[in-house]
Amino acid sequence: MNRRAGHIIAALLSLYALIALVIPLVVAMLWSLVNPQDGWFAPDLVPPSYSTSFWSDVFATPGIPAALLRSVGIAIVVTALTVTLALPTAWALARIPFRAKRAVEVFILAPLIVPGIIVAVSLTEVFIRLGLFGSLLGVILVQTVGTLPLMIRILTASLEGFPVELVWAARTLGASPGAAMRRIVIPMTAPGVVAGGLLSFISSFEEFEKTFMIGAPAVETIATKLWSYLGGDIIIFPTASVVTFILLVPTVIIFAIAQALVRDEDLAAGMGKV
Amino acid sequence: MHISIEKLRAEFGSFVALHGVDLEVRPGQLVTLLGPSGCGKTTLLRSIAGIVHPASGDIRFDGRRMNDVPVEKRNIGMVFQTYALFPHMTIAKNLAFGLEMRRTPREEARRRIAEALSLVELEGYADRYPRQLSGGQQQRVALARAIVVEPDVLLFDEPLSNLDAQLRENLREDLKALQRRTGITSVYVTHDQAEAMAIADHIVVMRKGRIVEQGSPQALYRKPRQRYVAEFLGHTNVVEARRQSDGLLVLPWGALRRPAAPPEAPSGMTALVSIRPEDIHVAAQPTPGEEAGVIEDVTFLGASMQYRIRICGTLIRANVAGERADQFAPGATVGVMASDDLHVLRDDQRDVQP
Amino acid sequence: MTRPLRQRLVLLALLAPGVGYLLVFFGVPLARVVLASVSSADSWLPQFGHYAEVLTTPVYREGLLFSLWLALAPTLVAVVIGVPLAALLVRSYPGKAFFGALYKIPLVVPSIVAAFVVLILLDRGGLAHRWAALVGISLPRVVRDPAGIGIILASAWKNVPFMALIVAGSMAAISEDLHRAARTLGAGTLTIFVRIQLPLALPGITAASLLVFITGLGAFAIPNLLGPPYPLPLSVHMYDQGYRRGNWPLVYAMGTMLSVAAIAILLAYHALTRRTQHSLTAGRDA
Repeated sequence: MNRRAGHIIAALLSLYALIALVIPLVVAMLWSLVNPQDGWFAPDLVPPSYSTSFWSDVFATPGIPAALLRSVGIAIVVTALTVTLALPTAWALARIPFRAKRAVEVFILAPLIVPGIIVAVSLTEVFIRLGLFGSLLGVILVQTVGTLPLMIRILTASLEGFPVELVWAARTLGASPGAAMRRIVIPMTAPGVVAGGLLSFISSFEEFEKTFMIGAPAVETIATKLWSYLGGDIIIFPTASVVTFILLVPTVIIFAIAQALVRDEDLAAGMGKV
Repeated sequence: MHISIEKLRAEFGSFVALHGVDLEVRPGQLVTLLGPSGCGKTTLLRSIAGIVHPASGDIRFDGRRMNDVPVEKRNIGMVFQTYALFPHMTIAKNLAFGLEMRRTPREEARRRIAEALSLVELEGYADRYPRQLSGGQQQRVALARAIVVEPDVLLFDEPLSNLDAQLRENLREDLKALQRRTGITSVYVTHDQAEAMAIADHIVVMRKGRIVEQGSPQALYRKPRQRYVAEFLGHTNVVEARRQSDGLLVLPWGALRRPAAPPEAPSGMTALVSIRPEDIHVAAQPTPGEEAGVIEDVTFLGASMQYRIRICGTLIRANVAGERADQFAPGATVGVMASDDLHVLRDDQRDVQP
Repeated sequence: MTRPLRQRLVLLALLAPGVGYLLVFFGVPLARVVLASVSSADSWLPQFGHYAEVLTTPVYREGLLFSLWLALAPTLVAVVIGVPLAALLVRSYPGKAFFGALYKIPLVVPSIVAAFVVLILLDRGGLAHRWAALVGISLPRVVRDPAGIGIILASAWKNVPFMALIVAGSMAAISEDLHRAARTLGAGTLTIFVRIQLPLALPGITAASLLVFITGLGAFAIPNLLGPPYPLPLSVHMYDQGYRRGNWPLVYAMGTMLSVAAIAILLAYHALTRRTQHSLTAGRDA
């Protein structure tokens, strides 16, 4: 690979990043810093003046801090539930050969492919009858339908790569199956579990459709809040921009951490690639 | 520790990996299981370790039946082909693992780890991680980790096959010396016949889930009973000889030889005879009454010269060492002289069922 | 207890949490939707009246076609941009680690944010219109337009990185020696891309396309925010008819239609990836 080709590639990728990421984010940031006194009207390419008043307004809006806390809380519970349910199943899929494995894998993939609106619609009537509709627990349960397959698949992919001789080596050295699990398997697969957990956290934190249909209007998360700012007749761009950043910043930071912990192919496996 | 295996049978689904194998390993012996891949040698080793559960038959350590004893209670040390070092632990922690499982007191553990590391000449490496070591060093750590727990039995699963040739030869000498010194009963799996001969007290040749033949390396090399073994250990020429009524064998080029043991074949029938290339001398003139051969190809092997000679329609190989080795060129007409020490083989190609 | 029986029980116990949860909260409810879409109070026989309604009422029929368009168009855009992007990403260039992490960000950005990005940039009065006005061009309407351009752009924005991630995985798996061999035979970069990388990445491209397609078919948030008042895609009809008007049997019929498409895609995907998966498993057991 010569240097010139490398530079051309870097230039093309920079152009892509500029159009796809930098410009949208900069414009959103400018919108969030608009001074309410002056506004930002056409044909101005940048706002005439800046202020942080929309930021302070948003945080002072009664619903927002509560929605943020609720989003984080839901994401923590969903992640814990997901990890607990996914670990044994992923272990079985990765390590135990059995005849119906392919069918089980396809079934686990299904919730990632079937649209979220259908998952929500299919649970609505049952949840209404059980009193879960519009409840925090209902939102947690419906979000877990989305995060669980992701987690099982990421964990299965990372456990499949685990060299089984290490377990046998530990056993020949006198470790019981439990001790081998505790001392060898868990410490070595921990990064995959943490990465899967982080991805579950984000996908719960940013989840909109299922949360909106099962939870709204009683359970407001930061994602459904953003929806309410965008879906109305009058869209207040500055407010929506601030809420976008509240949603985006934690997501991107956590995603960056997760990416460092998990191989690309395991990430792809989690997102649907077999 | 005396290992005794009786009628051991192992299956994977419908595939039978071991067809009722019997094997005795005497205390302090180093026994090599030798055979091509798929012959069942690794399954046999893993059955001894307790990693594979046999369908039937017995495994006994000093008379005690071990079949239902879990791996961790067998007090074995095992060295894996991939070394199987714990990547998240330092070398010292890897060695300490087995001692911790045995609840060895801290002071004693420290002393034994130091001893084991000096035994494999890796004193300065205690605090490194496996990935910081070369393949050969990792292999020695794996060995140290297996012996530091003072196991009753050492099991080796092709431990040198991931290393390059030079290192492999050095390590196998070290490994043999270490086994002699510790006197731990050992079973060693390999597909490399040279490695098996160099290291073993006793070689067990396996094929298709059965033991074909066993014995000391010398006995198996010099006096193999089966064609398969003769061809698997080193190089050999297998030629058909006709048996005369006086018990002499007539080789294809007319030479008469008296076999060490009389062949099973009746007079007038043919028998298979193994002649090692180094047991064939090449002469400028054939012995009167014998056919001449033509040199087809000459290969320089360093210590010797290998000739491929076509004689009476068959190709045979002869290795000639010493100063007179390179006096023949391709196309030369030569006489072929086989030594007197002939071994008649059973043609097991026919009688082993696939 | 015999060994095989015990092993089977252990396997079931391990599978139960994950598979059981998905059965209870996904499999069974979905099956119930399918049943409810064809059941009626008057008859034991399956009734297809709601399906007939979807297929014959113009507003729903148009909606179904619009849904298909919103699935197909972003898939094409994702292939056209994502595949070359993947080919660039797998080469070596300065800043590889940085770009490798950066391009994936839209994967975790919620679709509402994608819709918001399109609004601030491309809606009338958005930045693109202001820039275009500077040079005297008037941009066409792309938000709430009948062709759904804004929807397609927003969902492509999310799906291009997904396509690139999967395809880059396939391309990275191609041995460097294959590139070198092609080069020694006289192939240039473009020939290698077309003749070597594309065919070998085709299973990955197809697999990713199937997933992008189904995402577009069932998307709700983006079409609802950026779509025109008419036609509305099926997902938006499902929301309106169900949550706003309580017309659940009709919603179940629409849901079943989308589910059938999803399951067809799932099975196609399964068939497509079976061989590679099989060879992987075989290698692991050896």
